[in-house]
Amino acid sequence: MRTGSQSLKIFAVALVLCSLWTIARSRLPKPELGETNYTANRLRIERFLETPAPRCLIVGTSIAGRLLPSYFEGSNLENIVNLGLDGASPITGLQLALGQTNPPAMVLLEAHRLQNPTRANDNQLLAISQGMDHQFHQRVTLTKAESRPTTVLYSFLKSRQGAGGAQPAADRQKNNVTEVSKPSEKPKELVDTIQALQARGSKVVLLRLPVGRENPADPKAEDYIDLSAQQLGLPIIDLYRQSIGWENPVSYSDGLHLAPESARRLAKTLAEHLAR
Amino acid sequence: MSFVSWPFAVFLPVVFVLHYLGRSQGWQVGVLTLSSFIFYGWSHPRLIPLLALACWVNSAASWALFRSGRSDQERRRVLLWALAFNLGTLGFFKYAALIGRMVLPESLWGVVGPTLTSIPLPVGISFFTFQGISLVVDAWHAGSKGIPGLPGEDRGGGVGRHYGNVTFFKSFFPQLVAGPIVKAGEFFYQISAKRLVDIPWDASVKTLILGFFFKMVVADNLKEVTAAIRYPEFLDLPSINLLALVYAFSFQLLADFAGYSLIAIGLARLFGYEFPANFNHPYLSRSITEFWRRWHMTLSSWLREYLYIPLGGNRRGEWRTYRNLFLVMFLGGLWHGAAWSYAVWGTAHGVLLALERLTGRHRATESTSWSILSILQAFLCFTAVTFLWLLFQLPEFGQAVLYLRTMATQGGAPQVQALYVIACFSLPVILWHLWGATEPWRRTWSAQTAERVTIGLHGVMLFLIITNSGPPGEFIYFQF
Repeated sequence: MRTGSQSLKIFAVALVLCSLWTIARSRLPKPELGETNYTANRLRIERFLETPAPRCLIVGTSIAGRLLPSYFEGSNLENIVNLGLDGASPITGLQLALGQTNPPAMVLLEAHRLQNPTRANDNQLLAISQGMDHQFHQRVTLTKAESRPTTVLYSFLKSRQGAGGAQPAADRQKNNVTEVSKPSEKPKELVDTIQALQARGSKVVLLRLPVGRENPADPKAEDYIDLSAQQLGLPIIDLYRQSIGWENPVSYSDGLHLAPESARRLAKTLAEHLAR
Repeated sequence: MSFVSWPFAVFLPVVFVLHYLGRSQGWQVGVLTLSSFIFYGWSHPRLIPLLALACWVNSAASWALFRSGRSDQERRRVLLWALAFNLGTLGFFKYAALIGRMVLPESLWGVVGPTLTSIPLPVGISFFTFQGISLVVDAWHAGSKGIPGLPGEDRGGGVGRHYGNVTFFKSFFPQLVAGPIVKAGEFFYQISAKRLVDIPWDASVKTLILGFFFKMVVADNLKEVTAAIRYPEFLDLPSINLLALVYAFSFQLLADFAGYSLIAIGLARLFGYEFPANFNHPYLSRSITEFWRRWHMTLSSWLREYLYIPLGGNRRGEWRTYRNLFLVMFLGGLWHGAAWSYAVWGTAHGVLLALERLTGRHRATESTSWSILSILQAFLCFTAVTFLWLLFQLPEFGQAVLYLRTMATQGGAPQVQALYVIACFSLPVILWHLWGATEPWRRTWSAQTAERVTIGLHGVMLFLIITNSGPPGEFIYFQF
């Protein structure tokens, strides 16, 4: 056999690096933010799968995804899990919850994008929680999203970044307005999944958050969400109304998603609301 | 089957063990051929007959071309039939809709158009048809003496072995789907009984690590952000991100395709075969002429040998030379896809090559030393190549123009998250090119230092493959 000694040394170097990284990882905080949508979603799904029977689960899109679990530390919602998945349908989060042996006691369903149907992206996300890849990541923890060096660095840098929000370019704000879902547009899949979760003992509650580019010219926005709650037979927690009149108004990191400081404050408000 | 998939992780060791279980050439070629058909038909078994037919036709044609006693006219007829089959297969599956749209009247297109546009594109067809053409053309030139490693009947070749070896050549799984395009003369002489002890482990492992690193860490992570180069999504992005994305896609494309080629080369080495290199730090090129000597080298070599030179190359006057350059680049562009944007892309390269010829820059030899001027030349060449890649991501020409216009006028605050991803995962490609650029300096290192650095870098890449891979995805060149 022609040598191969370099190959063995390469594997040895990789092994040493993996060991050192495992030690370093155990001393660093777990990343909560991913540098890409896919990584961010993997982080959330892996965290969800690791948390046996969380008391409370947030389900939705990237809008709700800004309420990071660490913002709830010190409150009665400490083991809350967030499945606000970037670019996904809320149905995906509900389906993941339904797939658990013990579904969460309470599911907070983001009220803004209820009309989003599942797409190819959602299938990719569901695949994270099953199949060979999932089995592999479960066994080799270094391959989990939380172990990615670039993700750990990104999350660290973001956590050190100032909390101030940025304003979007004016034309983007104009062109990219969030549509509130109309009551007649709820996919049947959504209704069925909610009912299946309720049948298994989960309490499903709609969660309305302030949204940067929610169409301010649409007087029906509030009506739509109220009607959705009525139509689906769900109670609603309206953090948007609660935030009106705050001394420091809610700010957004990109004109749409909550800036960290506002998200932190809303998380506290949510925890207080649920404590009552 | 993709190189980056669970089925392949099982397939490879099984084939490896089976291959070296037998010591005869026949057993080993048989194992590799059978496994290559399994590899090819894994996701789409209905494509297997097409590959089998291509193998059979090219085997029969090359065998007929090797046989002595045939007149030149008969041999020419065989060659033309074989070329017509290869080009016809490619044309039918890849260009039927494009040609139909061009030549058919609107009323007839309305009837047959839906059928033509629904013809699926078999994976790897652009590669294995080119291999078939290389085989029959080489067989035509070689005559009854045969190609080295593939003897004709006069030189003791048997028909059974001929068909077996040609089928193996066309279907060998590492290069079947996306190259490198291995020419007949580069392959057949290598067919022999292989021994486990002859495997160049270090070369194989290092090539595989670099290949998988490029694909899984660089390309698959960059693809997460370059997906935004899509209409109308890009209209929402600020100028700085649009600019960065163009470069990111350029790095992604290189990492994806060079990654595939490196994996193919590394795998072939595990089975005792050596494929030609396909990429040589292409973004170090200081001219488009040099770029095509460094990028997809096996396609460039194929086009030169089987198209440019037969057309007359540069031997029949200036006018013919320019015409040949344009034609080769135009067809080379269309080879990438059945859309006019690919033809525009190829023609643009043809124009740049012609301009370099006009100014005499095509004669500039590849230098290993760098100056401010040569760095500037390399950057300009890289930028020109990079902006032309935009047509690969936005095949609608109007959308590509809109992208550039938006980039020039949009403004807006940068989106830091995407820029972070671009910076992180473009860096390895930049470092790889710096590695190439510093080769003269590295030659001054002691053997021990060179080995330590090589081991360290490959160890880091393996670590990052384990920890930092992106979401698995198809190789970009599969679609070509």
